[in-house]
Parts: sequence; structure tokens; C-alpha cells
Amino acid sequence: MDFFANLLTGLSVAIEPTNLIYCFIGVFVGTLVGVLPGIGPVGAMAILLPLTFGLPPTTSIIMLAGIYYGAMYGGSTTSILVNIPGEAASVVTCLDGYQMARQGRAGPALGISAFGSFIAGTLGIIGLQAIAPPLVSVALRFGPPEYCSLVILGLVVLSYLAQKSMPKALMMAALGVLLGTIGLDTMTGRPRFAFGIPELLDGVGLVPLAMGLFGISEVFINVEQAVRREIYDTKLKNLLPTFKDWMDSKWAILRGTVIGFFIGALPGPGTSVASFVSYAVEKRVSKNPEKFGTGVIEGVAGPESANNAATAGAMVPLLTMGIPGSVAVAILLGALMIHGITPGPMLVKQHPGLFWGVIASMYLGNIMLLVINLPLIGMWVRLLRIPYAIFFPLILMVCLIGAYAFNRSTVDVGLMLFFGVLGYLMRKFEYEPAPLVLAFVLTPILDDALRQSLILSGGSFTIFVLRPISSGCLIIAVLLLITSAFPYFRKKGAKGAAELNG
Amino acid sequence: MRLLSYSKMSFVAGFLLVFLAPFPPSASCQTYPDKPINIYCGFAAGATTDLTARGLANGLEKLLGVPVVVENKAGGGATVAAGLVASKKPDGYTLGVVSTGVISVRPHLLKLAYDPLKDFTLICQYARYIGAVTVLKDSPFKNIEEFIAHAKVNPGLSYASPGMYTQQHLATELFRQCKGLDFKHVPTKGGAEANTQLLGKHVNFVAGAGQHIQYVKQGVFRMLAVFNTDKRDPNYPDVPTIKELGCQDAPALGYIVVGPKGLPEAIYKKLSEAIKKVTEGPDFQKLLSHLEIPYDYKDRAQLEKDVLVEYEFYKTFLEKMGAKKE
Amino acid sequence: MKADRISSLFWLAVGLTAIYGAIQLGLGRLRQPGSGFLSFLAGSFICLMALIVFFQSFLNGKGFQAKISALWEGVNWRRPLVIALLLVAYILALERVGFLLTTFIILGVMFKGVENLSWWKTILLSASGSVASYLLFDTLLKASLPKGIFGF
Repeated sequence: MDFFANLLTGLSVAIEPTNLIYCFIGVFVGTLVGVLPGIGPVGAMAILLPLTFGLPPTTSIIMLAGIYYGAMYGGSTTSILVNIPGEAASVVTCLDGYQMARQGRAGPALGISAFGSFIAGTLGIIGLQAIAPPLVSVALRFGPPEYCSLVILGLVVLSYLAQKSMPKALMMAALGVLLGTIGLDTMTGRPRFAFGIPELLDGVGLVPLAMGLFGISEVFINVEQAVRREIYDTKLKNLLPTFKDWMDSKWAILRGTVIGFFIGALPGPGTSVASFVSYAVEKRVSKNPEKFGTGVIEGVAGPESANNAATAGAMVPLLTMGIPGSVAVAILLGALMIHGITPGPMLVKQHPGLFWGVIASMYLGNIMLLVINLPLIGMWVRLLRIPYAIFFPLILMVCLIGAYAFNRSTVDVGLMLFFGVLGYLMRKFEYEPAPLVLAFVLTPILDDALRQSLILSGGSFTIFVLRPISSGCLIIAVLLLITSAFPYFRKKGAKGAAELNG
Repeated sequence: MRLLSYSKMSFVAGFLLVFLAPFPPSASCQTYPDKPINIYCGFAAGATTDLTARGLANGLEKLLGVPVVVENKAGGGATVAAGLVASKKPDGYTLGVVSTGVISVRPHLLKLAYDPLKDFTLICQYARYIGAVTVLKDSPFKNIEEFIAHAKVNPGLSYASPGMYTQQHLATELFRQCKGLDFKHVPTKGGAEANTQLLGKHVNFVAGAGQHIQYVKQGVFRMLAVFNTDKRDPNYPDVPTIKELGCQDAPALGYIVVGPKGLPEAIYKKLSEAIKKVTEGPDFQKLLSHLEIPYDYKDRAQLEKDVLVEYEFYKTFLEKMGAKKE
Repeated sequence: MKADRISSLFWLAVGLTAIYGAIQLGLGRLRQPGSGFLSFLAGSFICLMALIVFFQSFLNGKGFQAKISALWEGVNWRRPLVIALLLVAYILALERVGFLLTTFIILGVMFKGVENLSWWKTILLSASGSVASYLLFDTLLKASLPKGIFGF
């Protein structure tokens, strides 16, 4: 099959010693950077970009892709260990992953995350080779109205993830949208809600927001404990996922992969959306949905697979049509163009070595991720054994550095503290931070898509229902809302009936 | 008892720290640059502005020896990036790559986050923007006349532009008015995004801003007319200019590098020399010719003069066009 | 007073402020939505949800029933407060005093003052923590942490 011949060509390129070394460096640095909050994959790629100048194009791309993958995985590590999401895609992993860590199951959580990512990444790359072109034409059919409906669906799904009160979760999502509009309006360039603070012109940073709402507030809540209690159960149950864990997770991983790959192929939303759609799907199909949020392994396996598959999926529009799906991928695009290569339909024909070489190196990158990270699990888990009294100031310190390093500004650190306090109060009053952060990430897409759609339709909302993909998303959203409100009405009805009879 | 000592300790520590606060942080010109430099790019990733900015950044990194990072802050036709640059400290670590439109065009139309004539240190210009009315290869219009005829019968054709009040948007609006047509304008965050809209057939045509050339070369797009220029594009001699069709055109704007106002002279000198070297260098020139963007270098003195002229020009131009300040 | 009642009123106020701000920004017309369009929708939605939570707080038996006083019963609330204040001081002093020194002091205060570790442990941990992170972030990753008046 042509497919394998190409793969072999690609592998021969990828196995060249220089490429292997740079792949390793990329993955290693990427993981390191991903674990440290504040400098995301984009920052790492940007800082390491100069190293690629002297290198041939294939090698540079291989290294950059390695960083990207590594950083995605590193972000999950902090989510699981200390409830601090490394970036948007890891927010969902915090929900169950951290709880597993608290129960002494950090090892299995990290392990299934690594393996799930590996499997998903590998399958994703196969998908990339096999169905990239037809996938792109579907992806292109997503115009502004489709994106808008997709985001709305995403927001409803988010609130559906709510453990407790759906109105409260929806409110948090709306609040996230509101926070997302702070900054300069991307259509007109006017400042919105910036209160004259220059640092706010760029909007609220995701890093201070997420670290504050999750990390700092977590520390506040934990130190409140009057009785000196260890936050993490130090009796380690296992270092790696058990057979049962695997059995529980296998479908989650597969589902996550499929979901992640397709969502990743859409230019725009990408990895964060993929991870929480996967979480929602897992919760929906699970026999014990109420257990989600208490440390259920599917809640980690699914999203982690999804976001890795999305990473592979994001390569689809790039390599086939030259459309960068997200900023990180755009850096790859930039690197290619600087070397005089234009990604697009011609890429495969003009530079087959590059194309297949990059793909093959992604396989290798995934393997390296596994090889590097599995032994580290033992180290991470031991880290959790440090008494919380010593641990939490260090966590705070890393957060402070991360918030500062994000944009070299103390205003961001101040914002993080503000959100930390807000997050603490929110938890006390039982409002959940996750929908807020995820809505915040989606808002730029929503803003543009909504306004562009209305312009296209001349002010009419019918455009959202007349187009098939868009109406499909909205219908699912409405159904979700109804089915979650329904039990409420049932209960009221039952109570009313009981009162009548009693 | 323990509680009291907590409060005491925190007050002591806080007091000590804040007491030391009155000393301002220091900045140094001697060792510039010794930190990474941020370049805010006014258009989205993949657009020609972005690609040239990244090319510039790579060259600068090699020359200056510090990481030079391009961050995309797209929106409002580069006014978002401009606003951000204007708000930063003039320490040479924040620069912007935007179009001259943020100074000469947009301020006449919107209240913005900056003062166009006062809030920037202009460093230089390196290229000119181009534009074209572009459709998909398989669209029924083979040339601009067919397009105009169709548009007359079917009002409400939609098009994507790289942003509100970019030269491409303005030129298309002039064209529209001139031929008495009716279009719907969908602003996006840059040439690349606008092209995606056309690829997905969500709009009828695109006001190409440079990135469209790649698709034309690959046979995916077709150019019907070029604007923002007086001459036909030498690479595409069959495509007429808007002026030839009897319509007024919006003059081309420039890709410029700016810094916040008040950039110290020493830092400015170092930067502008470095940038000049990079843009004259073979790598950058190759990039420009690959993208088919005309190289047009202007140093600060020239640029400051020209920008003022452009500013006044657009003031009257827009008034005549009927565009008013929102 | 039930916790939900007051929190929902708080959020209602937030939503109303957002609506007001959005209208100031301009809603535009439907065929050309303005800057405040989405903020307006978000703010209105917040108000709507806040009202739902408010009315739900009058129903007994469903959802979050705690009273405000109960939220802080039995927990040592002074500790988060002290830590928050320390962090405020840290933020104010960071750029003047420089990363290394400020972090060392803050860590020291937290280890000693809040957790009451021995002097030996405190100094050791604070020093190693601040120095290690300085080396990692500033020297290795070039994140350029603030250097204060003392030059480091």
C-alpha cells in the first residue's frame, strides 16, 4: 500500500541521528516547560525557535512538534498533582485527576494519562495520514455560524459537567464569557472594560486566571483545615494503572481519540474543547455519572487522549491547506515559510520527505514522551509525600513566578491573587471554577463568530438554524438543557403530589 | 497565641517589604538588549504581516542575541496591537509590527486606545501592502466585468477582509460605491483567516491582502482586479487595476515597525540599524519575493513625514467617502 | 441568612453592572453588532441565572442549603487571610526588592510564621526554594525575573 511505502520513507527520515536528537530535545524541553506553569508551549516554541535556524527544515519542524507534544503532556502533570492546570486543555484533567492524586492514586492517573496520550497520539497520526484531505473539506464547511453554535453547545456541555447546580454553572460560564470580553475589541479595536489599566488592554491572562481560580484558591481552602490533616493520602496504592484501570479506561481512550481528532481538525477551538467534550461524553455514557469529580479514571483517560488526538488533528488543516488551526501550529507554519516552504495542497507532492518525515517523527515523539515520562511518575508521586506545610509555600512560589513570567508584569500576579481569593469564596459558596475558565477560553471565538454570522445574515438569527451543522449543534444543546432541567420538574411534581395526598 | 504571632509576623514582613518599596526599579540602556524582546503583530498567524514579522524576528535574534518573540494580537485591523504597544514602557522590549493605517486611517473613524500622532515612536517601514478582489477558481466569474454584472443583479454578496478599515476593506468599499453595488463586509483577523472563509465558501469573495497570492499560485484562487496600486502587478499582467475600471482607489499602506513613545535614542539607534540590516538581508528579501510583496524601506525621518501626509490625506478622503467617526 | 441568597444577589449586581457597561460600549444594530453586544448577552444571562438561584434559595430540600455562618465553622480562617496579605506584600515589593530576596523573605515568613517550622528548616527551605527557582526560571529559561535595587 502506498501508505506504508510513504511511512517507510518517513521513518527513514525520522531516524536520522540529527532528527532523533532534536526530537528528543524538543519533547524533553516541552515536558519540562509544560510542567512549569506560566510558560506555555507557545512560549517554549518561541524561545527555542532560534535554535532551528541552522537546521534543515525537516529537523526544525520535528523539534518544534516535539515541544508541542511535550508541553501538552507536562500540563497534565501539574493538573493531576496540584490541581493547577498547565494550560486550558488540562483544566478538565484537574477535575478527576487531582482527586485521584488525593486518594493516593496519582501514579495510575499519571500513567493512564501518559498511555492514553500515547495511544491517542499514535492513532491520531494514522488518522492524519489516512483521512486528512477529506477531513479538511469537512472542516472548511465550518463557517462563523457553525463555530458560534459549536461554542454555545460547548458552553452548555460545560455547565452540564456541573456537579451540583446547573444554573450556578451556567452563570459561571456566562461570567467567563464576560471576563473574556475584557480587553480590546477585535473587530473595532476599542477598549472594553479595561478601567484604564493598560495591562488589561490585552485582556485577562489565562495563566493568572486559571492559576488563581484553581491553584491559589486550593491552597487557601487546604490551609484552613483546623485539624492537621494530610491533603494527600500517603498510602500509595499503585504506581501504574492496574488491570482494572485499563479495563475501565479502554473505551474512554478510544472515544477520546476520535472526538479529539475531529475537533482538533477544526481550525480554532482545538485541544481545550476536545478535552472537555470528551469528559462530558464519558460522564454521559458512564453507568455512574455521579461519581465523576471524585476521582474516576475515565475522567482522566478520556480527556487526556482527546487533547493529544486534537494535537494531531490540528496538523490536518496545516499540512493539507496551509491553514494554521491555532497559535502553536501557526508558529510551525511560520517556520516552514521562513524556509521557503508553503504548506498547502502542493506540500505533499513537492516535499514528500518533509511531510512524511514530520509525521513519522511524531510517532517517535509519542514514544519518547512515554519513555521519558513513565519513570518520572515515581518521582512525582514521591513529591506528593512532602508534608503540606512545606509543600504549599512552594506551590505558591511557583504560581507567583508563573504568573509573573507570563508577561513580565506584577499586574498579572495581582490578578492571580484576586482570582485566588475569588476562587476561594466561590468554592465556599459552591460555585464551580471550571466552567468559567473554559468559557473564558472560548469567548474570543464566540465573539467573532457571533458578530460575523449576524453580518452575513443581515441581522437575522435564522442563519443559525438554516445551516445543517449549526442547527445540529444547537439542537443538541437545547436537548441537553431540557434533559437536565427535567429531573427537577419531576421532583417538584412528585413533591406537589405528595403534599396533596399527605 | 499562635494567631497573634501570625498576624505580627505578617505585619512585620509586610512592613519591611513595603518600606523598601519607594525605590523605583531600574532600567539600563547600556546593556540593551539583555531580555527577550516582544513583537506584537497586528494580524493573525499566517497572514503576510505575521510571516514578515516572524522573518524579521528571526533575523533580529541572530543579530541581537536575545530571543525575539512574535505574539499575535490581531483585531481591528492592527489597532489592537497598536493600542497594546502604546501602553507599554519605552524600554525597547516591546515593539509592534502594524500597518500605517493604525495611524493614518483608523483614528478618523473610531475612538481608539491611543493617540495616533503622539503615542508611538516610528522606527521604520519595510514593505507595502497589496490587495486584490479574489474569488475561488471554480467560481463562474472569469473576469471583473462578469463579476460586476453578476453583483448588480445579486445584491448582498459577502466578502471577507483582513479587518475593519484596512486598505483592502476601504478599497472594496470604494469599488462598491463606484459601481453602485451592495456588499456585505465580514471583517476577520487577518489575510489568512479571510482566505479560510473563502475556501470554506462562507463568503463570495475575499479582499485579498497578500496571502491570497499563495493560493493563486497553486491554482485555488483567481484574482479579478488588483487595488491599492497604480500599476498592474507584473506577475499577473492580465489582471486590471481598480483605477482602470474608473474607480477611485485607496493608496497602499505600509508595514511598519513601531515602539511606544519616548524610546531612548540609544536604543532606537541599535534597533533601527539592526532592523535595516535584517530587511536588506538575503533571507528577508527571499521571503518578500516568495510572498510577492513589494519591498519599500523607509527610515524614521522619511516615515514620519509620509505618515503625516497620509494622515491628512485620509482625513479628507474619508470625509468625502462619507465615513464618519463613530 | 442562607449563603445562596446573598451570593445570588452579588452576582445579580455584577450582571447589572455588566449590562450597563455593555450599553455604554454600544450594542450596534443586529446587522452590525457593536462592541458591547456579547457582554450585554453575558451580563443578562448572569442576571437571569442569579435570579433563578435566588428564588431557588427559598425552596427547602434541594441544593445548597448552608447558612453563611456555617461556611466558616470549625475552620481556621485566619491562615488563608494571613497568606493572602503576605501575597499582597509580595506583589508590592517584588519589583523593588528583586525576586530573590522577596521570595526568600516570603517563604521564610510562611514557613516560620504560619507553619512554625524550626529556624534551621526555615532558612534552608527558603534559601533553596528561592535560589533553585531563580536558577531555573531566570538563568535557564530566561524568563527575566525582576532584579531589585540590590542588583540581583
